[in-house]
Amino acid sequence: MSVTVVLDGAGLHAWAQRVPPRDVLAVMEVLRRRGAGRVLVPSVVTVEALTGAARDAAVNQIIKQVDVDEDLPLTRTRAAAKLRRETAGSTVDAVVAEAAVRTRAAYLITSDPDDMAALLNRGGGHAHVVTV
Amino acid sequence: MEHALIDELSEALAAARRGATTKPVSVSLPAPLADAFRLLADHGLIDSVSVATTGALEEALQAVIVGLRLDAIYAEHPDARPTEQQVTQMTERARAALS
Repeated sequence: MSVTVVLDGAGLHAWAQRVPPRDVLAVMEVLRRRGAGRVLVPSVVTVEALTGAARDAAVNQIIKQVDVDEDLPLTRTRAAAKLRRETAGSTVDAVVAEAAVRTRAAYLITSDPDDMAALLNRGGGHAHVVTV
Repeated sequence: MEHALIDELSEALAAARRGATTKPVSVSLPAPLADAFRLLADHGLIDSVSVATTGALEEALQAVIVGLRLDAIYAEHPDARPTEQQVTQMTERARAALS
């Protein structure tokens, strides 16, 4: 069975580091050993992850290696809005969580575990939240 | 060399995901597997054998790209490699999603 890993902005930065955090490496080892998977980044995440400056180089390099989902139709934004209701999650967080729920992601890598866990719970997602 | 290979594979994966042009290729599959996927397509459970195959190959290629990046990291920073226990724990933590 394949493994889907969803990254928010901090998760993207973490995977782009010269030496990513140990937990991120362990997640990616799981994907490698399964022999099939997706590293999924909703494109709106790049609004937070990129600055337009030269220091974006490492992140831009990783963006080429992951699945940047540029498709955000109204059905998905409605689903994200539903997750976000009565939580402290941001708009981008809600889009990331919706992607994790929809794709039945195994892992969600984020710097905001509490808000992401709340969003996932509202959507019935089972992704393990990895904090960076 | 490794980085060049990662770049080349990543570009191929990205192009495929963007909907690159297709070309016919001939592959040999176990006959029951080929028959099963034809059956799935006939019953509308998959769009087509080609689409299902493309998705599977994309996911396999993603795993290879991730593996090459991991190997490159470990080559420069051997101490970064997670232990078997850490990988096992990470697998267990996602058991609900993976099952």
